[in-house]
Amino acid sequence: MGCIHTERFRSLLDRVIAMDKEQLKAYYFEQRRKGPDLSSKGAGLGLIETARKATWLEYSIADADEDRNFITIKAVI
Amino acid sequence: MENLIIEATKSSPSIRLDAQTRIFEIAGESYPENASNFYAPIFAWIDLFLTQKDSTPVTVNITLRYFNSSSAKALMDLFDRLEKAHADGTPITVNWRYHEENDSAMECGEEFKEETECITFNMIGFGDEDC
Repeated sequence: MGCIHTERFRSLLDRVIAMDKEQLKAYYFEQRRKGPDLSSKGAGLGLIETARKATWLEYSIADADEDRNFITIKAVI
Repeated sequence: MENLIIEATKSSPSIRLDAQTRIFEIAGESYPENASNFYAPIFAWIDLFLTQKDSTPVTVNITLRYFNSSSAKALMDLFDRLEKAHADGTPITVNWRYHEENDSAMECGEEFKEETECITFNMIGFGDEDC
């Protein structure tokens, strides 16, 4: 029913989906200057980049099993 | 100071930092498994080199066909270091070289240029004939 990673993911996706292109660019620039997020393996930029390039972005989260979620992201580029 | 030369791999660019000519080259593609680890020794060399605060200009040629977002972060870090060196008296010129059909490389260069203030940041498009 949603581990901590899923919630982090959900909140980031909700945030970028709500942003317009200018806000996404500012957010991208801000994150690019930040040090690595310790809770993340990546730079924390990939989803923002995807949102910047996409004309439509949506996601869904389903339970895969007791511990894990299955996340689908649909981005129209 | 010895030059720093690192050969390119499939996922990491070639690095040529020449202490005598004061020309730095980064070329290829950059998506190493761990970008911080890959760039750490390169930044250490550059930091040491720049502590000389020599007023002879430094040229940085960057020709990256593709890089991942961790590498983008490392590049931003590099440009911040170069800005500081420039403010400290070492004139820095960055030449961002991209193939004229590589829109992504061009846009990425422009977005780094936007985020730099003092250093000279040239956008240089090239065609097949200049490879």
